[in-house]
Amino acid sequence: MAEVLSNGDDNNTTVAHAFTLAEALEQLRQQTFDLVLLDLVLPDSNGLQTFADLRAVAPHVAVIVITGLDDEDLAVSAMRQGAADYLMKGRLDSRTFRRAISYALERSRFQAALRRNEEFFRLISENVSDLIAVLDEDGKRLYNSPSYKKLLGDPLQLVGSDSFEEIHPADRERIMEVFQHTLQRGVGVRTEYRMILRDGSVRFIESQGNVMRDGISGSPKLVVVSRDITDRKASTELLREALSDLKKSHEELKATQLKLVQSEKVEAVSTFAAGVAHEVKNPLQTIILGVDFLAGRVAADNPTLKMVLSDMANAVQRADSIIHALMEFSGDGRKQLRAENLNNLIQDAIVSTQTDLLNYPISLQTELADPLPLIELDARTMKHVFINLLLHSARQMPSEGGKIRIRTFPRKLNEPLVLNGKALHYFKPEDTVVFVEIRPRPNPPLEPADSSPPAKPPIKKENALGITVLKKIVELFGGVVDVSGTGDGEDAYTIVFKAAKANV
Amino acid sequence: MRRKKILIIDDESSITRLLKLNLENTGFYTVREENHGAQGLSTARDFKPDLVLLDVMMPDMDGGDVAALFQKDPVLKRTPIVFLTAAVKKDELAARGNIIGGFPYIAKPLDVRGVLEAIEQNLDKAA
Repeated sequence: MAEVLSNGDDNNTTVAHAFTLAEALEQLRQQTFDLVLLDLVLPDSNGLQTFADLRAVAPHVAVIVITGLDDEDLAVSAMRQGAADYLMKGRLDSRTFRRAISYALERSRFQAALRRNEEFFRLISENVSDLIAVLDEDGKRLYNSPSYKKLLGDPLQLVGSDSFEEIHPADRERIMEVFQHTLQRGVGVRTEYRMILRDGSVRFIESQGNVMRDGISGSPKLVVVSRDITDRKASTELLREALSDLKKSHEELKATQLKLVQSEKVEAVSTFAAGVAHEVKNPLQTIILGVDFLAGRVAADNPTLKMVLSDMANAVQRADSIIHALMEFSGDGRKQLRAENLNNLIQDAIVSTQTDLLNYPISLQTELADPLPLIELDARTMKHVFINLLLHSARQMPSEGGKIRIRTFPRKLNEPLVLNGKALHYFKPEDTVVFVEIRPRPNPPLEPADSSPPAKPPIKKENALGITVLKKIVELFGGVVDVSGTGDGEDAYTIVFKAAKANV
Repeated sequence: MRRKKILIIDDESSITRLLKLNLENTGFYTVREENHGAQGLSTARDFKPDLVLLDVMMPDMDGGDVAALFQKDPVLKRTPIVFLTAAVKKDELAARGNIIGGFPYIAKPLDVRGVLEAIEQNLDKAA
């Protein structure tokens, strides 16, 4: 044999001999061989045990078993246990011999490559934290990476088990659908579900499957790569909570800022009003003194002049009352935006106007909703707005007099507020708003009206100016005033405010 | 009876002029007017008014400063001063009895009758 081998084309062959198994094992321990030609019958060993003992020392070396003619069964058994080939004594020719050796070496190299690949794959699968599973088309487990150990115990024990079993019952049906879908399409989608572990705890898992066809067995297999995202989900939840907290404080900050801006605005307007009032007083003073002088000197015996001067004096008085109102508005101290109940302010305003309203045949009728959401504003300023609106309403009444109805009520908006056909988008759906309505209800004329339309009381100049100022004041507090005719020549006022944040 | 001498000090010349005309019109007063605080003081030393109508807010020297100078003058310190102010509302002033810090005040805009009343109340009230 050694001769055949050395005479071959391959000059690189080195041959070593051993006459007993013990000798062979000693050599195998000392150096690496590509191939062993092993007679199963040796002086110190016999039969399959010879092969087994050799394998134990050199698990990967290619072994060609040599047997006697009557021992073919033994040879086949050896091959089942990993022998590369067998040769029978007496049937050996050099060609068969060479070919057997060449095949065995080739197969050995191939197996070595396969082992390296397997080792490589094993290293990968043992070192990734991702969970890798291979399932058959029924969802039975064929392989689970070592990383499954933490979740489901020894991966080797999992082979053959149903991979849907540990999925949370609420998620199971959905995941089965995804599984089928993946089998049909070949490529799956990333899916989240819950897995119940043996100790009853629940983990959140994210998986994606892909179909793998190995070309040997016809049935498709699914490679599923998963990840335990429980911790990630928990931190996402924490993050979400923190974000929501942040949003909340941002909202609060914005509200505070708005309050400050409004405060500043009100303050600025107050200062401006005070300045204007002060500056207008001196020219008014000159006119008053001038009228007084002329009334004493020039007009004493001229009724026309007297009337002109009297009109001038009245005009000055009116201007003075506007200045007075401006100073009232500007106040002495800073404006304080506080959550106030409009009902209280209206009642205060009614008390303050009582003496003035004595001059008119007018009664006040109130319908004040209780409870009423609070409004953020400066109470003193707003009280004066109500006083002025009540006086305006009173002055507009015809000589027959009438009622002024004052109504307050809250409303939760379903859509942006519409006043007088105009949508006001500042008042949004879901906002709680408070309405104040001031409606004059004139008494019917004492004498039946003739065919010509009744003469409307002249609109006084002060009225127009007054309302403009009052509207601005209400706007400063985030409200709106709507003036609409009642059809009888009187104006009805509707005031709308957004409820303060705290009571929504 | 000797006409009472009134000195008006206010930076608005139209006001001092018309107030002078109105007061003289009554026949009871001799009136002089000044539109600057400092000028008012020197006029007072010469004119020796029975009462001074003094505007609070003036550009060069305000009414408080002028009053302080009056207080320092041995002759003028006994002269009653009535302040004219645009900074306080009439009703608020009335609620305080028309007195602020011990001094009588009239709120602008003032009518002649109101001024006459204030003058009569404070004449001979020499401090």
